Amino acid sequence: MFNRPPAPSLYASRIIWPLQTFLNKYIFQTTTSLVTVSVTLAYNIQESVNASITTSYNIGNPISSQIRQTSQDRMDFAY
Amino acid sequence: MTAIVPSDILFKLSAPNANAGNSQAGYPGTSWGGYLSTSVISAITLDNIFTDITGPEFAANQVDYACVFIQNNTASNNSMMNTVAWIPLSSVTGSGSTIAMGADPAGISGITSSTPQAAIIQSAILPPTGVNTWVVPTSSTPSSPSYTNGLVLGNIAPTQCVAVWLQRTAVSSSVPSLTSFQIMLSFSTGS
Repeated sequence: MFNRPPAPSLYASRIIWPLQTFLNKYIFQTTTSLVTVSVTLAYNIQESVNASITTSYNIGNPISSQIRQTSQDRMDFAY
Repeated sequence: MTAIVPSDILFKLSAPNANAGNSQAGYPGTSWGGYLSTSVISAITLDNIFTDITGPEFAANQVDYACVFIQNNTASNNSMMNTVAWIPLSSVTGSGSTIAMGADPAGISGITSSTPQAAIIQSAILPPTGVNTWVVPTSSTPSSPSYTNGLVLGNIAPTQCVAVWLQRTAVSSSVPSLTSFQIMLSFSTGS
């Protein structure tokens, strides 16, 4: 009444194992290969540079001017 | 890559009445910002940026301002990388005034820009708007990361320029004499 599966050993040897062999050989093929990854970098080597400008100016002093004027007045009066 | 040489860098006066950069002459004593002028600062140092401080100005401890432009004039497509401006303390001679320098907030621009390339002042005694940090002469070359007493101006490509301001303060408590100082730029060559 019920179709019992073959005995495990017979079932395995006649169905499962050949099926596995077929699948491994023709369907589930796996291969491995070596993959190489790289990145390229480059850079400039900079040089340091200095540039400059120089400036100058005189500074007047009103006090010394007044002294000179006073001295001249005294000299004129003496003569 | 050909390195930048110092002569590739132009220090110029400013033209406050111009409408575009590199279009008008600038003059010592009236380098009041605005635009890059066509006038390279003279190598004859006396009064090439500031004019003399007069006696009354000295007695009044007058503060004057002047704008200086830095232009990358290289023909070899080299940029001035990581440009820093500073005043070497060793270059300061004389007495009777102090000096400081600040970066203009306009930053780097093309030399012929029609947008103002620096703040504009109407008189030498008026401070430029937006210049809030002033550095003083230093004995040490400003270096990363703090660049103490240096102005970090950035990367200036060929045909670009940037402005800095000088602030001169008369000090009547000291003995006046011929005063001189140097503006130094340090940068790396890049392309």
